[in-house]
Amino acid sequence: MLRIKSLFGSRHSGLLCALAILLVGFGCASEQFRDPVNLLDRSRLWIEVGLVAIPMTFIIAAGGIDLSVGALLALSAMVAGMCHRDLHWPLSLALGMAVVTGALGGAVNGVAASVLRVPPLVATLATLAIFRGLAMGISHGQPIGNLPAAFEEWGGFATVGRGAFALPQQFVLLLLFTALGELILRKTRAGRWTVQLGENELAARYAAIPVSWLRFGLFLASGLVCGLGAITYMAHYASARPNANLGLELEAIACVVIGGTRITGGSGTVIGTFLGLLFLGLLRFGLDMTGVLQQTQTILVGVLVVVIAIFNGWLAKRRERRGPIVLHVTQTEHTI
Amino acid sequence: MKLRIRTVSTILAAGMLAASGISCSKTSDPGAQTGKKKLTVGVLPKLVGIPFFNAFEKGAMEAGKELGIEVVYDGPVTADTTKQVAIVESWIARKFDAIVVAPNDPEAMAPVLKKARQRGIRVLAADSDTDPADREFFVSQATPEAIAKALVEAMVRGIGPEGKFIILTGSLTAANQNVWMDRMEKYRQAHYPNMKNLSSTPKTSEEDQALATQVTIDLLKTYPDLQGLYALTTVALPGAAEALRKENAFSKVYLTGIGTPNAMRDYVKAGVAKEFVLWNPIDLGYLAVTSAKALLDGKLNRESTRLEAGRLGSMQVNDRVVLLGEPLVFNKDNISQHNF
Repeated sequence: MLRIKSLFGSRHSGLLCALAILLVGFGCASEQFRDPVNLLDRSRLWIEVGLVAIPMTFIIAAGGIDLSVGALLALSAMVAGMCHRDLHWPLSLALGMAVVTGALGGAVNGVAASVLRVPPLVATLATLAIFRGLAMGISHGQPIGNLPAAFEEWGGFATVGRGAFALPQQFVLLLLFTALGELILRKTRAGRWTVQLGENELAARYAAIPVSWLRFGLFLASGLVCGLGAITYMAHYASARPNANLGLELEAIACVVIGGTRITGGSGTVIGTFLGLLFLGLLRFGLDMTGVLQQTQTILVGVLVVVIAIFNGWLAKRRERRGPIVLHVTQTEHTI
Repeated sequence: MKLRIRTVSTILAAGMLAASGISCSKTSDPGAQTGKKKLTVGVLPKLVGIPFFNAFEKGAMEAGKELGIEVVYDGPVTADTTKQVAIVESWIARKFDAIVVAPNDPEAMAPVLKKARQRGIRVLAADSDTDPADREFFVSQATPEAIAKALVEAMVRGIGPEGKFIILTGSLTAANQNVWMDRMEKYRQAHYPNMKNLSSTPKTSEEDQALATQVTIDLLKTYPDLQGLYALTTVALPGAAEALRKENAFSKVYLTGIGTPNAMRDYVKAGVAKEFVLWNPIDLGYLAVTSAKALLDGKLNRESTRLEAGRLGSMQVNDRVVLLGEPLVFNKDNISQHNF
């Protein structure tokens, strides 16, 4: 019996295949796409979506959703910006406030979803409006700039490693958080509970899973990560902006869905989400490098998201029916 | 017995074959050509798909054709800074020779423009300025003072020197509109101190025409004594006009602002709006690309005071600003002469 075990398992084979097509196709079509410096530089743009998509994977796998992430990220950045500019706090302390604000916002979502039993879709739709309104209100709609040059340098140019392996710090950060997320989802009790909760809430309650606490914790984590995203955003765009990352929630959800997490809960992987992010990021990068206009890109991306979602659904069904995809070989070949 | 193989590798290989068959034929990257390289200029509007920037594009393309350079015109579908930054990032990667930007938010564009200049790309702003430190030249439609004066005078003709008005802008971070509002306020204080602004912060329409209509309808209810309304973007003005037409309020509230003739033609004919202000966006796009080419050729530099700009003739240059000229005031008499 021959068993070639892949790192990702067949669950992601469709997405890996799509990624390979993108890499080879665009690699042939564009010299700039092939240039690793360009490619790595591009990955700086993925960090905010990639970060919030990790807790989003958990929340969706648990049968919920968090629509407030973009707004909360903007609010966290504005609070940090104002602490720095108006209260003259040192930058590190002000950035700490971004994380605190994110956590508080996440806690509000958590309380609404677990204690008050508001469905997450409704709760976070409301806080989306509230957080965005607060971000606009406290800043009177004005961005805050004039951040220390070293901080902007970190956001725009800092790398880990040297030469051809000089990875942008954002990308390294993203890899670390992805690994951490996958570890938690697969190897910890909280991770298993999350999936069980998404599969069947009633059963989860009977199994003595602390459902309310779990839900609260997931939204808290999502908020915390929004705070971190606010920091990387401020560094990269040299400012805190109240209208930052409009539509971030939709991009993050797209990554999660493309990554094969079931939108109704009960199944999901962080690696898949990361691959979904790579797919969308590389697709946009490739379209940019081959000179496809933004309007056309929007349509193409939309179509591909649907195609992949359908393909994922088909794969999942197939997996349920027959287990992993197998190659059937006739009995006679069984000679070893 | 079954031979279990995770099919990933098979599918990967198949995918690679398929992909290489499809797309290994041509390269079309502007920087990749060998021999004598055609200059490439990227033009980035605040957003694509609105009449003003469509006209701007027309002029930019016209200049590109005339000068024998490649002009790539692309922008976000919504007025989104993050997307603008991503587009500039990709133009840096594609090694364009020069880029012309109309930033939605100058501050957030600063780092990526800095990076572009570090990589040897010449940076200009047009329509809306960046921080002057981030670009070599700004191609300006008209001075903010001249635009502000034209707007306030148009309003005075409508509601008199003691009327009550409100301003509807794009977003609160839009540099253009903020400068105009500042100059309008200065001009008003100096010449018409008895005019009154009913709302200390301007109302926003976020470059969204439907939103502008909604906001205007709400304004009519909130401020029953409102006499005049400025709509300061080409998207907000027709949006506001639609609201006045719907609510049949245009005899009570006088509307003026920044608009394009094509979007405003019906409203001007119907008397919903009598006058509005603009410059010629086709000429602005033309001048932007002409300036970029002159900069690349070394004909435009810090000491320049004039620029020969093709069919536009000789243009004034002052303190790294190329000036298109005076704003135009459109009304029912001259609107039929303009098509953009």
